[in-house]
Amino acid sequence: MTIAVLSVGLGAVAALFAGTGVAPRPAGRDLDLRLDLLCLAAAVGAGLTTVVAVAAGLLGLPVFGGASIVIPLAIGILGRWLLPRRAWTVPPAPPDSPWILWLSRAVLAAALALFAWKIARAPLWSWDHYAVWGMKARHLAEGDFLNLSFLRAYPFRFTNPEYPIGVPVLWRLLSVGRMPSSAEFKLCHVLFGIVLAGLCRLALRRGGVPAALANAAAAFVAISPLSWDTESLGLAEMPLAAAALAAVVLILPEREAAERLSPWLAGFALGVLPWIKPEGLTLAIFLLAAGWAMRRRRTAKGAFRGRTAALVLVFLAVAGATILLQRPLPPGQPFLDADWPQRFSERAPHVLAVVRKMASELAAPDWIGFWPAFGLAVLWAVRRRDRRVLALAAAVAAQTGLYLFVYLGTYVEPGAHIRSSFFRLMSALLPMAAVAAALSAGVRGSSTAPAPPATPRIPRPR
Amino acid sequence: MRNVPGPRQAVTAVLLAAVAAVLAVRAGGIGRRQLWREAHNEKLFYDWAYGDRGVALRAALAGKEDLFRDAEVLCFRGPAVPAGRPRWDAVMVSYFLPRQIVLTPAALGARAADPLPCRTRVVESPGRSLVIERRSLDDRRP
Repeated sequence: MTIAVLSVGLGAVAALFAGTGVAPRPAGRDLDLRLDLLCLAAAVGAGLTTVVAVAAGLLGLPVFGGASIVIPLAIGILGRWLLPRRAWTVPPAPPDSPWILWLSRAVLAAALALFAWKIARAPLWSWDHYAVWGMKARHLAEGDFLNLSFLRAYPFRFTNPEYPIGVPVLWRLLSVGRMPSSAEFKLCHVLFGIVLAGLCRLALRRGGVPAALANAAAAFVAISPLSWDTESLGLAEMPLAAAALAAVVLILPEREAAERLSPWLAGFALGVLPWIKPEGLTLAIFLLAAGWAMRRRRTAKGAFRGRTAALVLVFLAVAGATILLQRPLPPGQPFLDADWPQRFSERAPHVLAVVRKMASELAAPDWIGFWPAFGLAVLWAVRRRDRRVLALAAAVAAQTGLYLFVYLGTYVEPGAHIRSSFFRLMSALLPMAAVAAALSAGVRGSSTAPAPPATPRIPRPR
Repeated sequence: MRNVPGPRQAVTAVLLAAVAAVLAVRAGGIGRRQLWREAHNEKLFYDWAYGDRGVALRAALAGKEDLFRDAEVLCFRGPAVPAGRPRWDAVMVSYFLPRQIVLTPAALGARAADPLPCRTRVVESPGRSLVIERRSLDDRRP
């Protein structure tokens, strides 16, 4: 256990160093904002390190062992050296009374502590961990080198060899190249959960939501099924949720120039999603569309086009890299394998029955009434014409619609497929939906606000 | 609710109270031995996927990697437990053991006539045994 803590601690600090080299630095001394920005830096740094490590690994360079530290260090040093990093802050929000602010912090800390405690107690048990995600993390290294040839061997034909390898590589990097065991997987899971809470707070404070409400929403995410149901332990849902929320933070529109974030960083965060899970590609596309819808009328036309082009170009480059990477991997059995149009046409008349099954999963008491509350928040946002909430809710709805489409075309019987996967898949969308719902209680994101004035970059102190 | 602190603070207070209530209920269950079988998918799938059988397999295999570290071919002769499911057992063996080729019982059956000698290690767990043949490619020389 001690070795696991030391190795994952070292790997996490290295990823954080990489992220702080490219992520914005906080303006001012707000401790909450500093902590949340560290979470954003950790998410970005982990993504960058993974992408660079896979690229280097495919070129035959060592990427594990000492290289697990050298790669993020190099990224962090190059970022600090080459990239202009502006001081960044969040917009002022309506003040909270001190007692409710401290109470919200205490509840969030307690929620995270209980989450960590349960993960420490629970065994790794999910089939997909042993058969897919954990299996790959344990076998993809040969010495310090990346070697994916094992995916062609007989027992690994059950491991969905066509799935992205971003998360298994990241686990291995965070373990500083050691073959991860139960302790390493649990530590990584808890770290992702903490990062997720920080990103939830950051997204809401960026949206003008008071700090106490942001803390309360983050605490809710920490007690949601994504954190509490240990089926997700050792799977890719938690990393996907964290990466998606990092992208949400980066695509939310700013009201002042000092709140503006780099479009290439947003494009990178979106591009990382397909590295985590296959459905990350559609989620990234929906979030890209959501970001476009949120900003369309808020930014001066020329600046909007330039920033959108930068964002889309980086997104296409990063997402395209993993699609190219998947090509040499052996084929698996995608759910839409074989004659899915035939299955789809046979099941289309029964779409309502399939939707009812999906809805019954969302009515489970373990959601603590979240989805009906989310629906009410969306209705409230419609009344307020809050584009941010509506765009994020549309992304969540579109991704859910994609799952419906897959259930109608899958080679698995739809009822069994919904029962075995839908609850888990929706748990990864919950943080995004929670941010959307809580944004509706913040200062409205006006769709007709004037474009922010162009202000010169604040030079980075040397 | 725009710029109206009252309702917003009320929403915050209600949400905090709800989260605190859930936390209190869950914290009250800390003493229970198998708290991880209480969430939605834990109830549905834990026993189905990795009940006692999975625990026995994991206990048999975890930490035994070094026994097989220098083998070039590992033949897994299952099932490890009565009425075991070969595919699950093969996945477990593949997960815990090094990345050499692991053959499932079906593949092993096809090699039944193979006269080559086979050094065997037996990994035991209480009441059950898991037999893994540890082969070296040198064993194949005539």
